[in-house]
Amino acid sequence: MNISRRIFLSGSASLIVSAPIISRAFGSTSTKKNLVVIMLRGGMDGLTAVPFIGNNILKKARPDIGVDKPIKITSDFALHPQLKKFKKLWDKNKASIFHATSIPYTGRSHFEGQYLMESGGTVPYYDKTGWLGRALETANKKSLSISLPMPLILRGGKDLDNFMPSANRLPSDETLKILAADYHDDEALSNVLRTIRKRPIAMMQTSKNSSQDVKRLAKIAGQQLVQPNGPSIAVFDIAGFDTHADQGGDYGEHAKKLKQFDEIIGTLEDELGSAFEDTIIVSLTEFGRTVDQNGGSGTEHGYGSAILMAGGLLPKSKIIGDWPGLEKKNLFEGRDLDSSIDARAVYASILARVLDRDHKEIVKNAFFNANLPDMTQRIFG
Amino acid sequence: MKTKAFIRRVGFGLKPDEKVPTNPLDWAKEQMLVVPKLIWPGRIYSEKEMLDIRVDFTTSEDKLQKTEKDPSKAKEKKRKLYRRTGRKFFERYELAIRHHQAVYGNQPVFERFWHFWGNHFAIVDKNKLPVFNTGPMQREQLRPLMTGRFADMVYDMTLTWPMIKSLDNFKSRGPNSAFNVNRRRKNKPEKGLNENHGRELLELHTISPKAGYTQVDVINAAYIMTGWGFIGGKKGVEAKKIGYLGSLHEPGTHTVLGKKYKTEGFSSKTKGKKQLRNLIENLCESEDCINFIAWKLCRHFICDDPKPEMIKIIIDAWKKSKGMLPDIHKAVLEATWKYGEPEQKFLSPETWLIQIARMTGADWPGNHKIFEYDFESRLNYKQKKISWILGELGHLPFRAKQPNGFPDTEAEWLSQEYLVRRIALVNNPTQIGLYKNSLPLIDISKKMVNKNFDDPRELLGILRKLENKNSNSNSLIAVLCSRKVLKV
Repeated sequence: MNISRRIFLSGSASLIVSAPIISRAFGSTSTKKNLVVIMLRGGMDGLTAVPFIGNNILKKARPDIGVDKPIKITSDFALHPQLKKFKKLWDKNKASIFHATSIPYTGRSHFEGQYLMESGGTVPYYDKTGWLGRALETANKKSLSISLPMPLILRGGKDLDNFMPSANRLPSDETLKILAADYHDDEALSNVLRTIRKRPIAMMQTSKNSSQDVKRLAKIAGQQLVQPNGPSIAVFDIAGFDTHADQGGDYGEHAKKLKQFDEIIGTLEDELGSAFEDTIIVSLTEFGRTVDQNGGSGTEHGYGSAILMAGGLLPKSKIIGDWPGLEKKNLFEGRDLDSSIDARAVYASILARVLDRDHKEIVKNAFFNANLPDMTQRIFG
Repeated sequence: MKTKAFIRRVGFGLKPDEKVPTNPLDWAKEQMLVVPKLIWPGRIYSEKEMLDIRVDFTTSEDKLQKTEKDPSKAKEKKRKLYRRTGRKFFERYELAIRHHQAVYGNQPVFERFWHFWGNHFAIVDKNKLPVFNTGPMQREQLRPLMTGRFADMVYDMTLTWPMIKSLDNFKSRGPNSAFNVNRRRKNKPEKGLNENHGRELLELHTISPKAGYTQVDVINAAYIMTGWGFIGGKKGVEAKKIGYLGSLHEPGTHTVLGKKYKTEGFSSKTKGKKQLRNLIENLCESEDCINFIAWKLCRHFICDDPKPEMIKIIIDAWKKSKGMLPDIHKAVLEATWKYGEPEQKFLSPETWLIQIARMTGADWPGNHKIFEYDFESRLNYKQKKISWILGELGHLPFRAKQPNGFPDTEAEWLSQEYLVRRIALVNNPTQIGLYKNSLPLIDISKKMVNKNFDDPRELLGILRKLENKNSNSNSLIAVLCSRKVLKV
């Protein structure tokens, strides 16, 4: 089937001029809902993760790095063969893809792009807090980042912690108290130490195994998310999507990274058990990659990419978005998949659902009142 | 700034037996004039030797993978290959040379600037570059450039082996180069441009996106760079030389930020070769570059959000000296001396580790004899711990995840997990070479505080409370993880 610029799949929903849906309509606020954001640094190629198979444009544009064995999920789209767990969830109506979307940034710099995907603003290096952090400021929820730094995306929030398994042991709390007294006048240091001292025992234990295998990290996150008083927000950070050379197809560098993403999702599903029903996992990247392969069997920095979503909060599996097409005339600046919707609109609607807040309030608090349409119905309807 | 605070800000603090300089600003500035010799007493492998070892490793590993199909035999052969080529040894060895220099050397301020530039021209952690190449490149190629012109530094760093490898320029070919014209004639698919290095040359190494360049500028910068790559390689073996191949260069005039770069030269081999030099000269002369680098230096040495009056001191020195690095460095020191305030800059994990080692007189990174290696045995704990500790702290300097290197602000370096790791490290002081059979740890702490603080009273007060509590390592934690040591 050959489609070009049109609304697909959830098309019916987008045609309905429906009454505004407020998130309370989706049920009780008492269950603990979880949101997991997996940041994919370097520019995740939406066309490798979810290739368009409706025509052969992509195949021709990428003779050496095409996906040879795509897993067909609709007449127009397929999944990368490494997204096995994601596919299983798709089959269970627990996975969706928002395709042809990007944050509103077209400068193609990783570092500006990554800053903006986390800050949620439009001026690089300007806002000092992140969209998730700002959304959580009044939400009374705990967050855990599985990373060494506290990522920008969470800054500005309350009750933040971050974690990676480590081998060295902390001294007794008596000793930490000495530091607490010393940090007294320094707000940032005091806050950080306060959280350390309140950490659950599981996060105090040392580990000789210093492996940062993503499955292991996802297990740790899952074990915390499942606790009734534990965090309800988790953030992962995977780098290495910047494949200017030897990007690979079914296997290779981009595939390896997609597999890591897939393993996080699979492990979280296992660990969360029934709590997976109240969870949504989303990907986040700074930009997509060029449609054409380059001189080194890789791709260059592009624009539109895809957001992969998984979890029981999704009502059914679908591909959402307004597909701009891959014909030259439809590409952004003649080279990149275009973005048909500001990716922040997707994240805002997900936040509204997870935090049981009004969409407008989220847009105001987290995204500086940007003009972001409510995607709730298209994602959760 | 006050004397001792300044010494901790721009250097690594004072060693237990080090004299306090009477004029700290002059003391620091003098260090910028001459490249200090490496004081590592052990063998120092040249960059070329390390490239030979690397190519031996990659070629042998490739051959092994292709020929040995029996998994257990392959595993055994791989182990031997790893040991013979120092696959797990050399990064640790380089780190030891680097830390030895910083902890025991007499030009610590120079070393701080060296670390800064190493991170400015960060090589990402891929293709075994941190194992064999990044360290040797920094010490043999980057270091000597620090007393010359900035533009020369950029040019030479652009054409180092690890940079060309990590930013893929060896795979970039002009779409209309002789090479591709020929391929099209033979009906072979063309092998086109790779923008990676061209973009980072503009964004990270010289002018930054603030300069307002466009995608067309990036492509033209990449065109200018076509031709620069590896030369003289054989099939299946990595080439060791960086050079220029005119046949891969995109012909014609390329415009970057309004400036035109013509193809000069008569020989087809060298035609277009000069474009890169001309481009880098123009980039480095531009206001955008001067402002960006001056700002970045201020952020590293003064505060996370530098003010225009600080940056101006560096800009003025840059312009007056036409981009001479010793003058630029001296201006950074002057600006820091003038505008630096106490407890203003949160130290990166590596700088903090080196500071606490230098100030306490710790046996760090350990005697050079520990690092003598027979290329047959398994590495021992003492050989391994330097990279293990830096990894725990989150700051293995040759392993930047992205080409923008490691961050430089408190927001990036202060987190729960980072702080846990610093405290837990000091909780086990033998790891950093502070042994119980030397001085009692509380005495080490006191000595260090007296030596390194203009007003030691607050920290001594904390130590006094701990004196009778039989809490030796507590005294170290209380001082080495105190606000005043984490933030200089």
